[in-house]
Amino acid sequence: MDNDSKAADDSNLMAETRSNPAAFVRLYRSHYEAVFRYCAHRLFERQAAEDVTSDVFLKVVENIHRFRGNEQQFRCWLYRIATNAVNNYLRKTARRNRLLKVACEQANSRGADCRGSADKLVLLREAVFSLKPRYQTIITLRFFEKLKLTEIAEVLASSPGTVRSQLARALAKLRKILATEFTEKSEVIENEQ
Amino acid sequence: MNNDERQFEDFVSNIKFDDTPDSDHRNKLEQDLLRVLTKQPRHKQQPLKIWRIIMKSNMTKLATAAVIIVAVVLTVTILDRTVTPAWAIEDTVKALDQFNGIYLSGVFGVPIEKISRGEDLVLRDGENMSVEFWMQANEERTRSENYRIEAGDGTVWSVCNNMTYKYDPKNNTVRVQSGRGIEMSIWPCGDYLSKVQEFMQDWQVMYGKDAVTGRDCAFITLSNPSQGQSWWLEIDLETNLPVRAKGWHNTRREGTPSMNFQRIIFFEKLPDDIFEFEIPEGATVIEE
Repeated sequence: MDNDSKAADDSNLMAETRSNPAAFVRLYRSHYEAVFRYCAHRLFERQAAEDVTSDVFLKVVENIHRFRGNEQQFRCWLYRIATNAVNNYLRKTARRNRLLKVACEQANSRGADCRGSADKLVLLREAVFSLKPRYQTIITLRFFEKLKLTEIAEVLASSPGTVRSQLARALAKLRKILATEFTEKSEVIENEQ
Repeated sequence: MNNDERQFEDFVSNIKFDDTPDSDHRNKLEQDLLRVLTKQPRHKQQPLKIWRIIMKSNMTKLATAAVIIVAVVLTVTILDRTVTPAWAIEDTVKALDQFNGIYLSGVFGVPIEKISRGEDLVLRDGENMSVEFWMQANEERTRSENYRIEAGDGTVWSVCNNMTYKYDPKNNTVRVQSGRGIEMSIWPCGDYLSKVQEFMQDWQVMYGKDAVTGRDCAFITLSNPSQGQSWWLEIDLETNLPVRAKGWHNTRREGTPSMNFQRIIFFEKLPDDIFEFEIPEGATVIEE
């Protein structure tokens, strides 16, 4: 299928979605997992991720009649709604503290065999939560959702150049916080060379 | 991918985290959504409103420069009822009324400081600067509530929660003042378009494909002789939204454009944190 036909099919599907519940369900099923994973990677907690995922799709249902674009643009629109929903969730300090507490409890309850990974997860959560929300979004979209810089730029209503420099700043902050992890890895890389 | 990115990717790849979706949640949510979807009333279009143009400060001229581009596009869209049937005017108006956020990025042909001091826009060779704009409407959609400009030299203006921040990278200072130091004092939709219509002339429409995406587009040229300006605009025929625009400070579209926006994107709502201003490390804060 050439690009023009694919774009036309996408647009037809999106148009159908606005009036046909069955088409909406197809769209929902094909994007549910991505939205849930994104929320899980931003919040590091399943229950919170499920709650926010529900909010995201309710928002989608309420606003789908306004959406114009193809499925790729719909994907970016979804991530944008999810980003706002996650940021709103995290803005509540109590929730954020609870997430950190849950993270520590989960780490402590793991067996010795996976203690290393669990400890790293706690480190990662603390490090990522210390970033401003925009940087958290960029880190998650880049390293967990594997989006390209151009796609992240579209989600964040920004330019790829701006995203690139913000990604560099976010990584520099993470490097400071996760200094030991980065140093250990640097040594391995140097030894390999 | 640079070294920091590689190291961080390696670090996260070694972390085990259960991110598998739960099918019970997915199915339950699907049922909930279907219930909402079938009960949902049809969306009503918002009534058109009239807004006055108020130039609040010299800096507003910069904001207005951006909004004029958008407004010009919208006006032409409404005026032209003779073009391809694929271009549904009513859909365009309806679609545009749904958007409360606008992003523009491009190049200005004059130093941004000169515009903020209220000087006329005059094209001078070699004085181009990249600029990005983010604008979010207030609830009534009468003006911008939050506003952000980032210039290529690192200068940043940000209006958020009724506070204005201006970062000067040369002196590493942040000037802070209460109120909206920059605002789009009109929001480009509804009857405002009829005001723009008064000063636009000589418009022509051609059809073709976007040079980058290959999508079908309408290319519009027009001028405003009373202010010695001319414009080139591109509208995506699928979304009926403006996607690119150029402006000249002559009526013949001669020479390098004094404004060249290669990305114009409309949003229902821009992410809030775009407008939040973070004081750069070591910057001197000056309260005004």
